[in-house]
Amino acid sequence: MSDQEKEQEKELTTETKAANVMSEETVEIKSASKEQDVQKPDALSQELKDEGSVKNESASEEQGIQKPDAPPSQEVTDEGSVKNDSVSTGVDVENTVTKPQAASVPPKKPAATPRPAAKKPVEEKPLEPSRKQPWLDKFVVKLKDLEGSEYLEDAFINRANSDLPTLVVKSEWWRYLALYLRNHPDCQFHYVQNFSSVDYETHLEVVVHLFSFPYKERLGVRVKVDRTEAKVDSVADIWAAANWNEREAYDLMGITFEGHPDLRRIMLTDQWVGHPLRKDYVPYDEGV
Amino acid sequence: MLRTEEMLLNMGPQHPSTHGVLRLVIKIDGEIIREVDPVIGYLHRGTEKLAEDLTYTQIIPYTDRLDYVSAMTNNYAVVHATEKLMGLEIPERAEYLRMITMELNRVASHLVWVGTYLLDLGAMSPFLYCFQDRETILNLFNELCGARLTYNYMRVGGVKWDAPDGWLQKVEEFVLYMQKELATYHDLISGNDIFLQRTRGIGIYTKEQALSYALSGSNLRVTGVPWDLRQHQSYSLYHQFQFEIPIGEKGDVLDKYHLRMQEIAESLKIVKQVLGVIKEGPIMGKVPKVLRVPEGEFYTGVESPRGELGCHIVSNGKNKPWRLKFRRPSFYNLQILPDLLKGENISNLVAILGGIDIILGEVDG
Amino acid sequence: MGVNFEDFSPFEEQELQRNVLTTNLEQMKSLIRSNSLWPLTFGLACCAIEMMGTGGSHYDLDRFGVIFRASPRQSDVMIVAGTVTKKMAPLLRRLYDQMPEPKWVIAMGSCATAGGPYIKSYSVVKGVDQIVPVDVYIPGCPPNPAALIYGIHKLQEKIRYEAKHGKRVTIRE
Repeated sequence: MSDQEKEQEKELTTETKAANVMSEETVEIKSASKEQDVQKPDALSQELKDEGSVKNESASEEQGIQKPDAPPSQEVTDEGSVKNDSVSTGVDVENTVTKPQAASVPPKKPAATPRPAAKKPVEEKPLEPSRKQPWLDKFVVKLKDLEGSEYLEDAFINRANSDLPTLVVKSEWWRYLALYLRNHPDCQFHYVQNFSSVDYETHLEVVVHLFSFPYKERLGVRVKVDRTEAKVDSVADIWAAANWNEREAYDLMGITFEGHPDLRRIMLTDQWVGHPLRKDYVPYDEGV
Repeated sequence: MLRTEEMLLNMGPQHPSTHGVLRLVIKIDGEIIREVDPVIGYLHRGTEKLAEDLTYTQIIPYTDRLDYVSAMTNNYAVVHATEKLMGLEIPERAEYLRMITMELNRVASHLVWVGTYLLDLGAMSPFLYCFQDRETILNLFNELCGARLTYNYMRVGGVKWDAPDGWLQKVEEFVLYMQKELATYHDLISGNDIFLQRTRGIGIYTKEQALSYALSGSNLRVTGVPWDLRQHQSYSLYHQFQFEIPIGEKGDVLDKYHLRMQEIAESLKIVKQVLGVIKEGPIMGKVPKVLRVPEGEFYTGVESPRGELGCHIVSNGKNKPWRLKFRRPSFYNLQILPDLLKGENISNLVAILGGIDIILGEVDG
Repeated sequence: MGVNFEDFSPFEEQELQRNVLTTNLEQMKSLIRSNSLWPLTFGLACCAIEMMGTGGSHYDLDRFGVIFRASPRQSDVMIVAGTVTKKMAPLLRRLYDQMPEPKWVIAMGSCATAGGPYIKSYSVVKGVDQIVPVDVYIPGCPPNPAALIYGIHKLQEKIRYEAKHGKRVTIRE
């Protein structure tokens, strides 16, 4: 059909065209995109700041999660009590592991948060230890006995997420830990609730939420992956559910899962360039 | 003996029985399936990437389009996660309205499944019945929020519209009507000999398999695991109401059909109970003008008609999420398909695939 | 046949004018084509559910002679119902090429029209008219079944219009 005919067609359906895409949602999106453009420089400066802050942190304590978002935490201090708590609990666990008597001490030391000066006044009031804390303490003691436990970077209660015990591990240990979590009679985490991956700009993370039916326990595991050389051992043979999820993470986030039986792109075409969910992804064919 | 050769058969992505754009590459030996490779991603729209540039309220319409058959539940998943992370209080009436809409949506979703599944098996008339009754629900939603399919009804902190005058009355009428109507469905379908023969004893998997593949919803319950997040994680106000979790016995597709029919009945029961206690009141809680979610990471799941619909939010304290990941139940449920089809007769393919109840918008994200 | 038109009485002539339609073959064909549009079930996303709903008992597309066909070889019109992704685009084109002439395309919903809510997405084609020529655009996300029926009527109108005036008339003057 030639262009002219098309044009005529458009004329025919004038009413249709007029009202065209302007459903409520699309309008919303347009306003959103504007907003986003405005905010871009802000994000950039944030990135720069992160670069700086990361160095300090890695020297002191590995906190991982909120790192790339470091600047915002200053402005959120008032609401931040919840979040701070979750972090400091984590630190507390580390302490308790080394000296078990300290377990009963309520976690209130702001310790690891990189900018303690600004926050100290907020955290004066002691928070009750989470109801999951004893369980996690015991669990961490067990984990410490395992081979390669130096790869366990952190263990804390994610308070915001209804007291979810969370482990932060390095990628080298992930497969070993996964086998332990799946098969050990005390764990039996047979069920993968969620398999996700996050780009923190400083590093990537594979986040797995597990569930144990016999014990009715939930556990979050964050596996830190290097960003430039994103490689981690596959767990597709341990949990069958991880198979497609790893393919998805490979496709969209660019994490290579070594030992995966069939690591191909799953969502996009095989010829696709880049990994869209990375923060620095630039589409190569924007016009289409 | 006749020797046969293996042959590759390509099914989809445009196929009336794949419920969307699923492609199956099937290796068959005569009529026996040797291997199946599902190819997905034909509807991958990058919702997760888009969400990173949107505020939390703007994300809600996108969730509608993930699982477009039960958009209310999707709305709820993201709204619920945001509320939990912000620690907001939701007015009672809003929660009740949410529950009514979610459960009605579950009924509508299962009706679509029954209708299209029977259509796959070659029965035309159940489709007409199901869509007729579904139409009533859609009209109710239309009256409530002005949309038939993609509702965009819930907001962080409450719901957007209050029920118009007489709406609750209409819902009650529908519930009473539908409870009677279920008998018609059983008359029409449950005893049909062709239906029984096509579905009995196929697509069976064990509990261990189901857990390993992280199946959820009716696909998990059919193996005898009474796992329903409405009771076990008790979000919203579900703990106030009495309902049962139907479970399957044998785990075949016929069981799935009965289970989903029972779930319709249970949902109607919940709606009826909610209608008994709902009172006048505010529908929006106190919500800040700009939704700034505190820093942190959060995962929560809700029970969608297809299983555990999860929402994993990583926030950096801004008004937009740093990363939003949906745990899409259809995506998990579909993974088991190659295992189920291995060694099956090719005529059972559609019956087994349809039994899983996938929505491709959700599989592909 | 030996019919002498001049022998008709005025009454007979009147009756003839009422009952006999004189037309050309093109218009006759267009009348038939427009009243038996067989669409290809090209359900892609949310709109497909509304398309099914339109085909269901309440809206009943059959009464317009619209019967869904599962094969491109048997269909005249392709209703692109839903988001077209870059992965799906080549297949859509192939299916379109497999349809026999004459063929028409309806872009149902804002995704198929112009990308809709997903216009900023990395994997979505911004409008199906980049791949196949579209005859009727139906707005909405998703369009109401009534809107789809209206769109089909518009297409029927177009088919008759084109036959009546010939394709040249479509050029803007």
